[in-house]
Amino acid sequence: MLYCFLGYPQCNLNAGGLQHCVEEVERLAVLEHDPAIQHSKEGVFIVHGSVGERQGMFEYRLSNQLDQLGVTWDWFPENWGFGNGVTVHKTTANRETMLVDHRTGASINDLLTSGHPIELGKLIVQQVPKRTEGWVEYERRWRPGTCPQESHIIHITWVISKHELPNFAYNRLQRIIEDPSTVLQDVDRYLEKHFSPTRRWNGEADNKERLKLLTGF
Amino acid sequence: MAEAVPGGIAFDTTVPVTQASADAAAVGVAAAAARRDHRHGMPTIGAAPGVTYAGGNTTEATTTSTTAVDLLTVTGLSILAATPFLFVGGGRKTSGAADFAGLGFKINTTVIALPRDTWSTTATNEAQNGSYFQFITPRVTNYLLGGAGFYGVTGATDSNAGTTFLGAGANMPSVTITDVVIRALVVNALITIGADELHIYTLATS
Repeated sequence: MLYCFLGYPQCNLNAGGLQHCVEEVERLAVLEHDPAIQHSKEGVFIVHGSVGERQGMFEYRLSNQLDQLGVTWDWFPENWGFGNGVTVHKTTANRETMLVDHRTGASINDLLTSGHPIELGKLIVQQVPKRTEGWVEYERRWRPGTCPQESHIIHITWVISKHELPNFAYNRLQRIIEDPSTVLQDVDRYLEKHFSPTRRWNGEADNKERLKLLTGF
Repeated sequence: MAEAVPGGIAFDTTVPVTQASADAAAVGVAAAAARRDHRHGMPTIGAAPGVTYAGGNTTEATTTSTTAVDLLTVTGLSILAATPFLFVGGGRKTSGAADFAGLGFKINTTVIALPRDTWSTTATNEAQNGSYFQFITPRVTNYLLGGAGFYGVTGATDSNAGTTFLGAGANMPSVTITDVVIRALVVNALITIGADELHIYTLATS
């Protein structure tokens, strides 16, 4: 059964660390690790090399926090691969922006290529988000009205267990992933490799600088 | 304390509240009026756990999946079929077992390269990390396998490097690209594979 939670584990466990927690330290669940079993949006498959044979649909549960944010089953596109075991997934959504003339709404690029003289000193320019095909497609994955309207990162952590979790195990798992105040049990049983460092995200700023080097724009 | 002004309107010294996300609208019950230049506090944008905006905390994507999983995605893109682009990223695996871990990719919803076709560690039981570079040519009829790249990975005792080409997966879609998805798997669930710093660059054609 697939369990999805919002964010990366707040105690900074990575997928291997969370698996160690669930299977070895707190013994909350038996996870699916069979290298022939792959979960995807369309169902569970038995895979042989690059070929998969569909076995049927599987049960899944999305946490309340995901639901409240606007992430439902529809958020995952066609052919989405959940694999098995534990995954801390990361999606970066890039919102493109453009400079427009504040009074007319025309883009600066359109003005400059119009063939008419432009008195740049009189322009009041504004940076506005673009509704590109890619953004519209992404926005459609969210419950209507909930998609953040600027560049962002969303982490989703999922766990695939062999059996349905009892309530106490589900609640504990949810707290470990979603509640920053939760303390790990037997913390001395974890190794450095079980944790991922966090860092600050600088958005697209760095990308734009690098892009200039490549394109000259 | 309320302050009366001509016309009978009263003001007091109550500080406007800081609204919380999902607050419901309300008529209010106070008998005093608000000053026209008053200002409400606003919650910090991006405070919702799990969603990060520029300047917020983030971390790598990781998995212990022994079958292909969608690990790291850049979405919201609009790369036209005639536009060449490239992407670069980093990968790593932890110690835990003497086995491989690897990365592949999807474009939109189509699997283009299977895990280990874009980046592959060695089977040595040690932590290893490295990077990959993938170039994609314009996706036009009869030129839908136009991708090539290279990668490298190093650990304390072992390393690996290689060149990559497309062909094991499907043809690339000749439509606007909205998503690039890095897929991953580990051959043994005692290994964790991580991926991060995926950056996509479009290239000018004239």
